[in-house]
Amino acid sequence: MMRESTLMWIQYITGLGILVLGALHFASLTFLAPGGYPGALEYTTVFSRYTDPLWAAALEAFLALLSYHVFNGFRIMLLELNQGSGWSKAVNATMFLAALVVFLYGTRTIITFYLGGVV
Amino acid sequence: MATSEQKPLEFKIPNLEGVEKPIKNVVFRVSRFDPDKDSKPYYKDYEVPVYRFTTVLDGLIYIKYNLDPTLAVRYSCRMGVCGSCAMVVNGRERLACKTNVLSLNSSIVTVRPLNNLPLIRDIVTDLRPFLEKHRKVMPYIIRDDIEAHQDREFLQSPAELDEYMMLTDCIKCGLCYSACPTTATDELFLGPQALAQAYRYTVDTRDAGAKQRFEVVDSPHGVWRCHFAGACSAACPKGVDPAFAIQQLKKLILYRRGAMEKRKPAPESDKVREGISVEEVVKNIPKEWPSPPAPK
Repeated sequence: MMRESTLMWIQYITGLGILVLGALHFASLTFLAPGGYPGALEYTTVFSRYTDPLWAAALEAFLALLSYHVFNGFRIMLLELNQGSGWSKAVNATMFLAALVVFLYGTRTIITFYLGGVV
Repeated sequence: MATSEQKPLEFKIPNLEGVEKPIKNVVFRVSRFDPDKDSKPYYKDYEVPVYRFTTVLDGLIYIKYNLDPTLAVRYSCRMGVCGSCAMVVNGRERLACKTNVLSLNSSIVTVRPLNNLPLIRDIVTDLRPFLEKHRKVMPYIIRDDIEAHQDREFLQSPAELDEYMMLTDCIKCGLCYSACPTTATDELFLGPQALAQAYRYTVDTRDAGAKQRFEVVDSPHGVWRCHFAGACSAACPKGVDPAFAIQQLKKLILYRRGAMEKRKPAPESDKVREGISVEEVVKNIPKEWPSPPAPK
């Protein structure tokens, strides 16, 4: 297990990263979308983002940052809500697994779209 | 010597309103709890005459001596130094001896025990969990050569002292611990007082215990659980700012951990420091302290 300060350092860095990549993500769905906002959420427009390697990489990075930040945040809240070594171990393991599942599932979606396939 | 030519001393008669006679009666709504009889705490009202300088502690002592001797209240110095009379007065953490009843501007004074601590009786709480956390952060100078230099001080400049001076005013009353919202939910959280003292001793240049202290505070229920609500600093009756110290401690761990852990502590007083040796200081000390001037 990493030191708490290392976990928190990553938490702060991922928070900043989410701010930047989140802004980029929303911009890509609005005024940066090809053809402007009205058609930004149409299937072909969104699909074109996923097939672009740079946008796909940005989405993957955004997903990684979110998976860590969200589930480490939940871990912190749950550790403050209740105490005990059994509880701590259960919370740490559950949050780690949940983050991994969300990250892998999201990655699968991004890769599927990137390769041109539709689920 | 007074002579007949000297003018008699003039005394200004102070305003005695509210000093000789009470200004008004105030209801003290006091939390009562006897572990042998009661299943949970309840409030009981007492009418207390209030003078201009009556404090909440004076009111409680009045109740104990005149109205209800079974009331348990902990106090000692009555002057805001010992921290024994820490309690929650009208919803805020305060020292009862430093709280003037009239300043509360209320006809009802509600008094209840500190939050986040086990209740012993009435408004007396068990401070042991709080003091155990204080002990946990090793609130003393740690260094290898401390035993060998019991008879001399370790040198420190005024600027180095300024780094932690404000935090030495802590009287361990527990008000910050009671006000802390994190302590309310996380009973293992070290709390503002202990964390502030961890910072106070870590930045002390005479100390070399950063490594041991970081092991304690850099933990799942340590310094990172502080959300910077600032309630601790607002509650402190001595002007200590634990919230600030905790943020500084976080900064120290994130940016200067390695340097702090390897830091050599300040030398003992016979080593040269900042170009001045103790021999030189001692040489300039007068052999005999000058006598006070003789009275004319």
